[in-house]
Amino acid sequence: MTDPRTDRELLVASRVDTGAFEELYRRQVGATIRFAARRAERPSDVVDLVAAVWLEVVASLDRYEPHRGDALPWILGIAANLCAVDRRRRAREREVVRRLGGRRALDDDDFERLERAIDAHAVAPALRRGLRELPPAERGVAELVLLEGLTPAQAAEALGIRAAAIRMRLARARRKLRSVAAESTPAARSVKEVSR
Amino acid sequence: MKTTGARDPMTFEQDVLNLALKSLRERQGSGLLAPVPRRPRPRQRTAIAIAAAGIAIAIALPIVLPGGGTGGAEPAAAALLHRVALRAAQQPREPAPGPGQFLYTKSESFSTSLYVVGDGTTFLFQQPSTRESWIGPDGSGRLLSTSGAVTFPTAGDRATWVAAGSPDLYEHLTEDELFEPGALFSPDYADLPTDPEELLELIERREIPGIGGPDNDWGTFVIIGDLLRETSLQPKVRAALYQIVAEIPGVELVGRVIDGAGRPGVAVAYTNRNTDAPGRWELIFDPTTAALLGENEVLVADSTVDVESGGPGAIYGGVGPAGTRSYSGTYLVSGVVDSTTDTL
Repeated sequence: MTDPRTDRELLVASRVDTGAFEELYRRQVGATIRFAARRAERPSDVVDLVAAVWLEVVASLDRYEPHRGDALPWILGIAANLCAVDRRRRAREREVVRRLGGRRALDDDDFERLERAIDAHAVAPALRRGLRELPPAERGVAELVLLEGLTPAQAAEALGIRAAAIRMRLARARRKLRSVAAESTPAARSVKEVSR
Repeated sequence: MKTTGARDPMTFEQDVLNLALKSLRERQGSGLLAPVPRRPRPRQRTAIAIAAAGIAIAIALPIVLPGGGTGGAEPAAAALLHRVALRAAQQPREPAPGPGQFLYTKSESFSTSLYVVGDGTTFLFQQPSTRESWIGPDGSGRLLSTSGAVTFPTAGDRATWVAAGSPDLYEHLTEDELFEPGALFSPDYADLPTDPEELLELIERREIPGIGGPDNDWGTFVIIGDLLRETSLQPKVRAALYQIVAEIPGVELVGRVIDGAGRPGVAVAYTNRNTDAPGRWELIFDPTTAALLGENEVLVADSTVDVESGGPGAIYGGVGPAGTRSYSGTYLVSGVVDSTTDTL
């Protein structure tokens, strides 16, 4: 029996209903794994980031405003902020994980699945380098739009920035990435297409 | 949750979920999580954002009925609202856009925002903007907005901006976008009940398409503001909405005011302290036509935000010291036009 509630209803209901949270997690954990796999080099980094994202989702539940956008862009916005912002917060998340009893070690199956995910979602090295060189504010925007496929409006919602601001950042990011896009890898091509 | 067998069947997904659920139960148990969403910010309610949603937000949470009080709005406010409701009911029916036509609206806004420089450094800035929208019944249309010149509430805010290298605050930026059918939120409110009780029931069940809000009196006030703003409603529906506002406990009379465009109006307000951005929200009406002229939001307590969550360059609304006018909107014109280049 599938839960008829929409993602955003589940996210709102999660404040009081752990079942709703579980259902939302079941639906969207894959998207966060893909997000993490694109940014991590080792399976354990993927899991660290996925765990950090979902703990941050829990910590931010009362900040979600359902009329402002769908659940997944909001979750990916949290993920992008976690990556962009700073190591201090990541350290705090690791602290939370420890306090909550820690994660168990990855078994071989997990390890292999994650390696495959990292391979499948690898971003062309040139593009990854290009993204890494962007200032944090532009990088968050560019990643959500170019890698995760959010629209600029969704990315604006996700990052809590005004649409006008995001368009400026995206335009700047695209200009900087254009030289990267000249190398014709699939991911780089997508940059070109989006930047038209 | 850890199993003890030689081979642990739990995937890392299940492991992470267990951690998150632990954390969630902790927060639920500690009362950190309010069961309803944070106060919506009207200015953020862009047509695009709602287009992404496209559907009603029926929040499956218990409705908190008006807190046991018998009163409704403060008597002076209720009297005003009943008079405005009578005026509303007497207005001619507003034309609704037909196929190929658009509901055109023009508004001005003013907002105070917080800019995150990084490392805990922030400054406040103020900025006006104008917005025009053309929205067709099929959800096609055009949004045109222009931001104005930035000012700073204090010399200290300006100094912080300068010290940060005068980051771009997107002054005089024009955004002009055309939308395909279905891309914009274009609710059909033609069939809303004109009976205040029936309408209130729909609102309390949060069953009006595209309109959501916290399940409390504040949320009801917010929803009514959303319904009155830049919509085409039957006069009797508009009248019913004013009657409903008169029944909301906590609604106060502000009295005569001058709106952002210099027009005389009358205003009522609701103060919401039960939020991390406690504010007083005023709705300003034209006393003769009952049209919504504008709205103001003023913070009634210092409001901060966890600046780490957005990172450098992030911009937040609804933040500042008590007394900050965090937002005001002024609705200038509204009517039906035949193309996305026509104005009124």
